[in-house]
Amino acid sequence: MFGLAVAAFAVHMSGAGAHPHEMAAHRGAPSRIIASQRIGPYVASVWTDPEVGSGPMYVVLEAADGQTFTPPSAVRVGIAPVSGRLPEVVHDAHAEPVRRGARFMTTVAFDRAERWTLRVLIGGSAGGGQLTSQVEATPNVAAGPFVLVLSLLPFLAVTGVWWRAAVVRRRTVALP
Amino acid sequence: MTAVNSPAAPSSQVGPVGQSFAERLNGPWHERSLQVFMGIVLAHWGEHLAQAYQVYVLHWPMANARGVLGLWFPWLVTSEALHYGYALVMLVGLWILRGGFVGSSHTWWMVAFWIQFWHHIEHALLQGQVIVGQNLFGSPVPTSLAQLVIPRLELHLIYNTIVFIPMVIAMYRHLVPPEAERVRMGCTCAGHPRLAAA
Repeated sequence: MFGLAVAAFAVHMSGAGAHPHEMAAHRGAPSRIIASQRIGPYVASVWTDPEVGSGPMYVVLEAADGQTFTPPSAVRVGIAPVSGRLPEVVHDAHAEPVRRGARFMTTVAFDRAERWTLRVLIGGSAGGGQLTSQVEATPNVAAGPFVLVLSLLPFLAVTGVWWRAAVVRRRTVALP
Repeated sequence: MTAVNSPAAPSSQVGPVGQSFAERLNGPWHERSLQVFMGIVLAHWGEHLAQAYQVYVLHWPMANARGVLGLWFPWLVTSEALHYGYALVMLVGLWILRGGFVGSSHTWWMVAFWIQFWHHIEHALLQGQVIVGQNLFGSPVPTSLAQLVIPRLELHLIYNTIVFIPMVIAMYRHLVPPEAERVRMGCTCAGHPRLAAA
């Protein structure tokens, strides 16, 4: 068992193509907000994990039925609060290596927990188009300040156990 | 997992003579080993405490709140190496120090071990997806199973909490054991065996 564990750790430390975000084991998994929608010659899905502060945005493209896949030349993601309090900000997404189709990624900024309008713009020689959706940005630590209290508890617990043990030990040693 | 561990060395035989390294770790060195191990565990919690303090008291942006080590070595936080390395240290520590626990404390210690073991499986799943180049559930990023059930909570904190709770219970039962368990202990964690058994 520990041989496997050591091997896994060695693979991890060697890199093995791990992108920092890809290995964000303790961040919430992105969820699909647009599922397999036809856009030009593509079938597109959009995944995101919209945390307040920043959120990754993935645009996954595959060839539509009967179409030959030609990668788009540009994929952009525009976001704006539904309330209209800020103008739309458009982000260029960069291509990531995948075995089939194409995947584009960018990080967008959500400055407040509220509903946002999302536009995905795809352009290229094979055609393109625009997808629209909405997404709710939420605080990135759902537990909030509770985390502060939670992080204090282990110190209190260990102190309590140590103190109790010290008291019992003193009584034991004091026995005739 | 059994509730009763294999019998430890009798109190009168506690000592380094003729013992293997593992036996010493779980015998005469158990108390000191547990202190070091708990120091590592608390240092990790300290990092989270510092991070929470930076966010909720100092109001630093989340991206800048990297605990203490992360301020000087940001890659430790962003590369996941720190989290994974700590998970591995926890797993190894829980395993090699289990022999010193007897009775109910052993049971609780092994509960912590098996939870940590699952935590490590989750990391292995993530590693596997990176190595194979194919993610589970069609996700654009490697995804662990717990992330599906608890998609937005701080899974790292949750995992460490549910491992820490049985650990602390085990420590308490080990440091303040029932008399029937105390006499079977081969370490000095609950006081000197000969005095305790008197």
